[in-house]
Amino acid sequence: MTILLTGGSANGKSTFAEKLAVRFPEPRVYIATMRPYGEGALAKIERHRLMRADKGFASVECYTGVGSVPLEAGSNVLLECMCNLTANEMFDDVGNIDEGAAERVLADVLKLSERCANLIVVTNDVGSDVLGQYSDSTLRYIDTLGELNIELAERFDVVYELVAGIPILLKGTAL
Amino acid sequence: MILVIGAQKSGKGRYAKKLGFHKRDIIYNAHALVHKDPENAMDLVDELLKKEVVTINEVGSGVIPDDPILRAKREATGRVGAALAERATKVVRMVAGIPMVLKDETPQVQETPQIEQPQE
Repeated sequence: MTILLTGGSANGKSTFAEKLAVRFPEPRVYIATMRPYGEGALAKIERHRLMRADKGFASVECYTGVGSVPLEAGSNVLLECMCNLTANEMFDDVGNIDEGAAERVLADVLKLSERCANLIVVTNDVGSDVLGQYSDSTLRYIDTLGELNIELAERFDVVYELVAGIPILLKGTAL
Repeated sequence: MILVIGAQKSGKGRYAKKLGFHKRDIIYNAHALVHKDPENAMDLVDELLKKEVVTINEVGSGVIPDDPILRAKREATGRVGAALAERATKVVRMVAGIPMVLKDETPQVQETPQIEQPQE
Protein backbone atom coordinates (compact mmCIF):
# COMPACT_ATOMS: atom_id res chain seq x y z
CA MET A 1 0.00 0.00 0.00
CA THR A 2 1.15 3.55 -0.74
CA ILE A 3 0.14 6.45 1.50
CA LEU A 4 0.80 10.15 0.88
CA LEU A 5 0.57 12.74 3.67
CA THR A 6 0.46 16.42 2.79
CA GLY A 7 -0.27 19.70 4.59
CA GLY A 8 1.47 22.83 5.82
CA SER A 9 4.49 22.86 8.12
CA ALA A 10 4.04 21.83 11.76
CA ASN A 11 0.56 20.38 11.23
CA GLY A 12 1.39 16.94 12.58
CA LYS A 13 2.36 15.08 9.41
CA SER A 14 5.38 13.35 10.97
CA THR A 15 3.49 12.35 14.09
CA PHE A 16 0.63 10.89 12.07
CA ALA A 17 3.09 9.20 9.69
CA GLU A 18 4.77 7.40 12.56
CA LYS A 19 1.44 6.42 14.09
CA LEU A 20 0.53 4.78 10.81
CA ALA A 21 3.96 3.24 10.28
CA VAL A 22 4.04 1.40 13.61
CA ARG A 23 0.82 -0.38 12.63
CA PHE A 24 2.81 -2.17 9.94
CA PRO A 25 5.13 -4.99 11.05
CA GLU A 26 8.92 -4.80 11.22
CA PRO A 27 11.28 -4.38 9.49
CA ARG A 28 10.42 -0.67 9.51
CA VAL A 29 12.73 1.69 7.72
CA TYR A 30 12.78 5.45 8.14
CA ILE A 31 14.38 7.29 5.23
CA ALA A 32 15.57 10.74 6.32
CA THR A 33 16.29 13.18 3.52
CA MET A 34 17.18 16.38 5.39
CA ARG A 35 20.82 17.35 4.98
CA PRO A 36 22.22 18.09 8.44
CA TYR A 37 23.15 21.72 7.66
CA GLY A 38 22.49 24.54 10.11
CA GLU A 39 20.93 24.79 13.53
CA GLY A 40 17.32 24.60 12.32
CA ALA A 41 17.92 21.35 10.47
CA LEU A 42 19.81 19.78 13.37
CA ALA A 43 17.01 20.65 15.81
CA LYS A 44 14.35 19.22 13.48
CA ILE A 45 16.38 16.03 12.90
CA GLU A 46 16.84 15.60 16.64
CA ARG A 47 13.10 16.11 17.24
CA HIS A 48 12.26 13.45 14.67
CA ARG A 49 14.93 11.08 16.07
CA LEU A 50 13.40 11.31 19.54
CA MET A 51 9.93 10.66 18.11
CA ARG A 52 11.20 7.46 16.48
CA ALA A 53 13.11 6.23 19.49
CA ASP A 54 11.97 2.76 20.61
CA LYS A 55 9.47 2.50 17.77
CA GLY A 56 11.46 -0.14 15.94
CA PHE A 57 12.66 1.94 12.99
CA ALA A 58 15.98 1.42 11.26
CA SER A 59 17.00 4.92 10.13
CA VAL A 60 18.67 5.52 6.77
CA GLU A 61 20.01 8.91 5.76
CA CYS A 62 19.48 9.38 2.05
CA TYR A 63 19.64 12.80 0.40
CA THR A 64 19.31 11.82 -3.27
CA GLY A 65 18.47 8.70 -5.27
CA VAL A 66 15.96 7.15 -2.82
CA GLY A 67 15.00 4.52 -5.37
CA SER A 68 18.21 2.64 -4.64
CA VAL A 69 18.20 2.69 -0.82
CA PRO A 70 19.31 -0.75 0.45
CA LEU A 71 16.19 -2.50 1.80
CA GLU A 72 15.37 -5.83 3.35
CA ALA A 73 12.58 -7.65 1.51
CA GLY A 74 9.14 -6.85 2.92
CA SER A 75 10.19 -3.59 4.54
CA ASN A 76 7.66 -1.02 5.62
CA VAL A 77 9.09 2.35 4.73
CA LEU A 78 8.47 5.89 5.90
CA LEU A 79 10.03 8.47 3.57
CA GLU A 80 10.38 11.95 5.02
CA CYS A 81 10.10 14.16 3.13
CA MET A 82 9.44 15.15 -0.48
CA CYS A 83 10.28 18.80 0.22
CA ASN A 84 13.87 18.04 1.22
CA LEU A 85 14.31 15.34 -1.37
CA THR A 86 13.09 17.62 -4.16
CA ALA A 87 15.35 20.48 -3.02
CA ASN A 88 18.33 18.11 -2.76
CA GLU A 89 17.76 16.77 -6.26
CA MET A 90 16.88 20.13 -7.78
CA PHE A 91 19.62 22.47 -6.51
CA ASP A 92 23.39 22.07 -6.26
CA ASP A 93 25.49 23.83 -3.58
CA VAL A 94 25.45 27.14 -5.43
CA GLY A 95 21.74 27.01 -6.30
CA ASN A 96 21.89 25.89 -9.94
CA ILE A 97 18.72 24.10 -11.03
CA ASP A 98 18.84 20.57 -12.39
CA GLU A 99 16.10 20.41 -15.04
CA GLY A 100 15.74 16.64 -14.77
CA ALA A 101 15.10 16.61 -11.02
CA ALA A 102 11.30 16.25 -11.00
CA GLU A 103 11.28 13.30 -13.36
CA ARG A 104 14.08 11.62 -11.41
CA VAL A 105 12.40 12.11 -8.02
CA LEU A 106 9.11 10.71 -9.28
CA ALA A 107 10.82 7.68 -10.82
CA ASP A 108 12.81 7.13 -7.61
CA VAL A 109 9.79 7.23 -5.31
CA LEU A 110 7.82 4.89 -7.58
CA LYS A 111 10.80 2.51 -7.69
CA LEU A 112 11.01 2.65 -3.91
CA SER A 113 7.28 1.85 -3.64
CA GLU A 114 7.79 -1.29 -5.71
CA ARG A 115 10.65 -2.43 -3.49
CA CYS A 116 8.83 -2.30 -0.15
CA ALA A 117 5.68 -3.81 1.34
CA ASN A 118 4.10 -0.50 2.30
CA LEU A 119 5.31 3.03 1.73
CA ILE A 120 4.33 6.18 3.59
CA VAL A 121 5.54 9.43 2.02
CA VAL A 122 5.43 12.77 3.79
CA THR A 123 5.29 15.84 1.57
CA ASN A 124 4.47 19.49 2.14
CA ASP A 125 2.03 22.03 0.79
CA VAL A 126 4.28 25.00 0.05
CA GLY A 127 2.13 26.96 -2.41
CA SER A 128 -0.58 28.19 -0.04
CA ASP A 129 0.25 31.86 0.11
CA VAL A 130 0.91 34.89 -2.03
CA LEU A 131 4.04 34.19 -4.07
CA GLY A 132 5.53 37.64 -4.66
CA GLN A 133 8.16 37.42 -1.92
CA TYR A 134 9.96 34.47 -3.50
CA SER A 135 12.95 34.36 -5.86
CA ASP A 136 12.59 32.79 -9.29
CA SER A 137 14.33 29.61 -8.19
CA THR A 138 12.04 29.30 -5.16
CA LEU A 139 9.02 29.74 -7.44
CA ARG A 140 10.38 26.95 -9.63
CA TYR A 141 10.76 24.80 -6.52
CA ILE A 142 7.15 25.50 -5.41
CA ASP A 143 5.86 24.54 -8.87
CA THR A 144 8.02 21.41 -9.02
CA LEU A 145 6.94 20.17 -5.60
CA GLY A 146 3.30 20.94 -6.43
CA GLU A 147 3.51 18.91 -9.64
CA LEU A 148 5.21 16.04 -7.84
CA ASN A 149 2.46 16.04 -5.22
CA ILE A 150 -0.17 15.78 -7.96
CA GLU A 151 1.72 12.94 -9.69
CA LEU A 152 2.13 10.99 -6.45
CA ALA A 153 -1.44 11.58 -5.26
CA GLU A 154 -2.71 10.28 -8.58
CA ARG A 155 -0.76 7.04 -8.20
CA PHE A 156 -0.91 6.43 -4.44
CA ASP A 157 -3.66 4.39 -2.78
CA VAL A 158 -4.36 6.70 0.14
CA VAL A 159 -3.90 10.48 0.49
CA TYR A 160 -4.39 12.53 3.65
CA GLU A 161 -4.08 16.23 4.35
CA LEU A 162 -3.11 17.15 7.90
CA VAL A 163 -4.65 20.28 9.41
CA ALA A 164 -3.85 21.14 13.04
CA GLY A 165 -2.94 17.51 13.62
CA ILE A 166 -6.21 16.23 12.19
CA PRO A 167 -5.98 13.88 9.20
CA ILE A 168 -8.45 14.67 6.40
CA LEU A 169 -8.88 11.76 4.02
CA LEU A 170 -8.64 12.95 0.41
CA LYS A 171 -8.36 9.61 -1.35
CA GLY A 172 -8.78 5.91 -0.58
CA THR A 173 -10.00 4.21 2.59
CA ALA A 174 -9.31 5.58 6.07
CA LEU A 175 -6.67 3.57 7.91
CA MET B 1 -20.36 29.65 -10.95
CA ILE B 2 -17.97 26.97 -9.78
CA LEU B 3 -15.05 28.32 -7.76
CA VAL B 4 -11.90 26.22 -7.74
CA ILE B 5 -9.53 27.28 -4.97
CA GLY B 6 -6.23 25.80 -3.88
CA ALA B 7 -2.49 26.28 -3.52
CA GLN B 8 -0.17 27.15 -6.38
CA LYS B 9 0.22 24.01 -8.56
CA SER B 10 -2.46 22.06 -6.74
CA GLY B 11 -4.23 21.02 -9.96
CA LYS B 12 -6.90 23.77 -10.23
CA GLY B 13 -6.36 24.43 -13.93
CA ARG B 14 -6.45 20.77 -14.93
CA TYR B 15 -9.62 20.25 -12.91
CA ALA B 16 -11.31 23.38 -14.32
CA LYS B 17 -10.51 22.32 -17.88
CA LYS B 18 -12.02 18.88 -17.32
CA LEU B 19 -15.39 20.37 -16.32
CA GLY B 20 -16.06 20.80 -20.04
CA PHE B 21 -17.08 24.46 -20.31
CA HIS B 22 -16.07 26.69 -23.20
CA LYS B 23 -12.76 28.53 -22.80
CA ARG B 24 -14.52 31.91 -22.72
CA ASP B 25 -16.55 30.84 -19.68
CA ILE B 26 -13.52 29.93 -17.58
CA ILE B 27 -11.24 32.38 -15.79
CA TYR B 28 -7.97 30.82 -14.76
CA ASN B 29 -5.87 32.37 -11.98
CA ALA B 30 -8.21 35.14 -10.87
CA HIS B 31 -5.55 36.14 -8.31
CA ALA B 32 -3.52 37.55 -11.24
CA LEU B 33 -6.41 39.94 -12.00
CA VAL B 34 -6.62 40.89 -8.34
CA HIS B 35 -2.89 41.65 -8.26
CA LYS B 36 -3.26 44.23 -11.05
CA ASP B 37 -5.32 46.52 -8.83
CA PRO B 38 -5.70 45.18 -5.29
CA GLU B 39 -7.40 48.33 -4.04
CA ASN B 40 -10.39 47.90 -6.38
CA ALA B 41 -10.30 44.12 -6.56
CA MET B 42 -13.80 43.69 -5.13
CA ASP B 43 -15.13 45.29 -8.32
CA LEU B 44 -14.10 42.09 -10.12
CA VAL B 45 -16.49 39.91 -8.13
CA ASP B 46 -19.70 40.58 -10.09
CA GLU B 47 -18.01 39.98 -13.44
CA LEU B 48 -16.34 36.78 -12.23
CA LEU B 49 -19.67 35.45 -10.96
CA LYS B 50 -21.03 35.58 -14.52
CA LYS B 51 -18.51 32.94 -15.60
CA GLU B 52 -19.01 29.17 -15.34
CA VAL B 53 -15.69 28.45 -13.63
CA VAL B 54 -13.14 30.61 -11.80
CA THR B 55 -9.85 29.38 -10.37
CA ILE B 56 -8.00 31.33 -7.69
CA ASN B 57 -4.99 30.68 -5.50
CA GLU B 58 -5.54 29.98 -1.84
CA VAL B 59 -3.50 32.46 0.20
CA GLY B 60 -2.93 33.43 3.80
CA SER B 61 -1.29 30.34 5.27
CA GLY B 62 2.13 31.91 5.57
CA VAL B 63 3.57 34.85 7.49
CA ILE B 64 2.14 38.28 6.60
CA PRO B 65 4.66 39.80 4.16
CA ASP B 66 6.65 42.92 5.12
CA ASP B 67 6.18 44.48 1.70
CA PRO B 68 2.97 46.61 1.77
CA ILE B 69 2.20 45.98 -1.92
CA LEU B 70 2.48 42.25 -1.45
CA ARG B 71 0.39 42.49 1.70
CA ALA B 72 -2.35 44.29 -0.24
CA LYS B 73 -2.31 41.66 -3.02
CA ARG B 74 -2.51 38.85 -0.51
CA GLU B 75 -5.32 40.47 1.45
CA ALA B 76 -7.31 41.31 -1.69
CA THR B 77 -6.92 37.78 -3.08
CA GLY B 78 -8.26 36.34 0.16
CA ARG B 79 -11.21 38.74 0.28
CA VAL B 80 -12.13 38.21 -3.36
CA GLY B 81 -11.87 34.44 -2.88
CA ALA B 82 -14.23 34.59 0.09
CA ALA B 83 -16.69 36.87 -1.73
CA LEU B 84 -16.75 34.51 -4.72
CA ALA B 85 -17.16 31.46 -2.50
CA GLU B 86 -20.10 33.07 -0.72
CA ARG B 87 -22.04 33.51 -3.96
CA ALA B 88 -20.72 30.57 -6.00
CA THR B 89 -23.06 27.61 -6.48
CA LYS B 90 -20.19 25.25 -5.87
CA VAL B 91 -16.76 25.59 -4.25
CA VAL B 92 -14.06 23.00 -4.80
CA ARG B 93 -10.73 23.02 -3.00
CA MET B 94 -7.77 21.26 -4.60
CA VAL B 95 -5.00 19.52 -2.66
CA ALA B 96 -2.34 17.62 -4.59
CA GLY B 97 -4.67 17.35 -7.59
CA ILE B 98 -7.55 15.95 -5.52
CA PRO B 99 -10.81 17.92 -5.51
CA MET B 100 -12.72 18.35 -2.27
CA VAL B 101 -16.18 19.89 -2.43
CA LEU B 102 -16.54 22.54 0.27
CA LYS B 103 -19.96 23.75 -0.84
CA ASP B 104 -22.50 22.57 -3.38
CA GLU B 105 -25.76 24.39 -3.98
CA THR B 106 -26.18 23.27 -7.57
CA PRO B 107 -29.95 23.08 -8.17
CA GLN B 108 -31.00 19.45 -8.31
CA VAL B 109 -32.98 18.44 -11.36
CA GLN B 110 -36.28 16.96 -10.27
CA GLU B 111 -36.36 13.44 -11.63
CA THR B 112 -39.66 12.53 -13.21
CA PRO B 113 -40.47 8.84 -12.87
CA GLN B 114 -39.91 7.00 -16.13
CA ILE B 115 -42.82 5.12 -17.65
CA GLU B 116 -41.69 1.69 -18.59
CA GLN B 117 -42.19 0.93 -22.23
CA PRO B 118 -43.30 -2.60 -22.96
CA GLN B 119 -40.57 -4.41 -24.86
CA GLU B 120 -41.51 -5.37 -28.36
